[in-house]
Amino acid sequence: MEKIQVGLATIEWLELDQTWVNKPMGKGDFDIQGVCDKFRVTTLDGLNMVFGIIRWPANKPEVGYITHSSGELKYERLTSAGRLGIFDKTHGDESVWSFELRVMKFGEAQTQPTLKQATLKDLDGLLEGQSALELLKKHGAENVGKRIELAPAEVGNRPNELFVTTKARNNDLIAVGFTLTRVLAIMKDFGK
Amino acid sequence: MAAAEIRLITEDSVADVAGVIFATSKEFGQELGNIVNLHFLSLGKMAWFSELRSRRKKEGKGDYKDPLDIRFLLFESSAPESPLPSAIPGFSDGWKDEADLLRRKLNSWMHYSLEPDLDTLEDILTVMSTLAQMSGLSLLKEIAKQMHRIHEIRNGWKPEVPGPQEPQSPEVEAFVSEVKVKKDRIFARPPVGSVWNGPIGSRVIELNKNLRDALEDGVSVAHEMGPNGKEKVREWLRYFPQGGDIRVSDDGAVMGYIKGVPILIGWFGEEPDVNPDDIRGYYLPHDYEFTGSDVKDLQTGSLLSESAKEDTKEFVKLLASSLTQGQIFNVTTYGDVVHESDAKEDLIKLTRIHKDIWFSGQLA
Repeated sequence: MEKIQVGLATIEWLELDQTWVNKPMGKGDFDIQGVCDKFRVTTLDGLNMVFGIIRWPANKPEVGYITHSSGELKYERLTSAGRLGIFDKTHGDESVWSFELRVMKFGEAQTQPTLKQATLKDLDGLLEGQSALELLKKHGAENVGKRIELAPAEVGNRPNELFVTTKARNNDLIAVGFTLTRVLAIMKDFGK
Repeated sequence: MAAAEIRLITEDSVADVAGVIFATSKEFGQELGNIVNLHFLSLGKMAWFSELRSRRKKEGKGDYKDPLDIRFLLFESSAPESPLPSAIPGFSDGWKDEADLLRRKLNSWMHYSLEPDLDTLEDILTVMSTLAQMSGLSLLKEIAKQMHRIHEIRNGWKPEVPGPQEPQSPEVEAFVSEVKVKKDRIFARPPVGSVWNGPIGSRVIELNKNLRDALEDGVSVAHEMGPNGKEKVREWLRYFPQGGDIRVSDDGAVMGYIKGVPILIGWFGEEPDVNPDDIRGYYLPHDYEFTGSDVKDLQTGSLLSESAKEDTKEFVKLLASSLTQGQIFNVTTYGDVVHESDAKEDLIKLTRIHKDIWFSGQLA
């Protein structure tokens, strides 16, 4: 598979459909077995980190950290935080995946970045002149907007989050969204 | 007739332990054998031994040339329709059971399957002592002295004048030499789960517990071990369950650090230069009985089905194809499952098991 460029980061697909045993995000007290598609993210500042898109038998898919071999200390945050949950809905015969584009942001009082609400303008600023919207559309985003507009029935407690929908199993878009909002945000010290 | 005096053990060494076991076994055979011989002679059965040898030969059993050989006496005492029990003072079903136990222990000892230490010596002497007591053998006093000395050594006793030991018999020397070879082999290639004594491998890979996989720069290396590579990796996780960096040495030994100590957690592929039929290591200090549908630890009384972490059905099925209900077997420190052949001379390896399908805490 071709590598995907996201600003100063590069995504490379590794092995697909690998066994993954862990607790699903926010669920369960015990490990269960899922399936994982692995991708590597490298950056110009020396990060080499591997993540996985994990599909569970009865829980929502997610993106999580697997391993890393190099990178600045600030990226260590991604070993324990920044997991991305994916909503998996079926409309008629079609399955749709969607996710929030929350971004890893440094705060004045915080030494560690945490996930915060973002705008497309924020994301543009992480992309060296590239348009975030165009990048997302290029990789299969069907809708990009506020969560309350795209999923009014399921806004949860974050109706104004930037939200994106795509067809189910569109791994490229998931990896792009994750890299943009997690890896590049930390690389650029977003919020500082 | 009083038993000959047996040199008391002076230290917990292979030579001393072997020396006492050989000497006591010999004295046991001589004293009991003489009693048996006198019994048959008093009945006018001058050719009793040659007649027994002929019968054994016909039955395809091992031959013994000496009626005073302890192994012969122990075998015959439990053989159906053997006249020997009638010549043994104090013989009973209990005597027969103890004799069978002693025979198995001595057989395992001669196959280097028992750790040559004070515990093994005490274990063997305890059974000999029971038999000597039941038959009123004078050897009982000699055994009691050895047991007392074992107790003293454990409490720090040392010879007043350490000096050169008396020369050992050729059979003890040969035994000690074999034991040394075995100990060296165990040191160089310890059981999986033990401290690794060899050179630390230079290839560093990551054992990832979530992926159940071994990674190098994020990519699986399991395929390098062939089609069953991922199975191998899962075996490593039994000994390194949290995962993390592990090292692979040139000969394929895979080790991980646990609390700063390098532990052998498996092999990258097959362990080299190992005959799969070889029985490795020493017996765990337990005897196990196959119940027909389970395994019973005869020392603790616990059942395998209630103790093992993983499912044991396949293992029990394998046992059922080789053992009959009530048969006793042993397991070595390497997990080799061993039982005596029908001829009761050889030891046969049935399979190798790992710690999670065995009694909790018994295998490394």
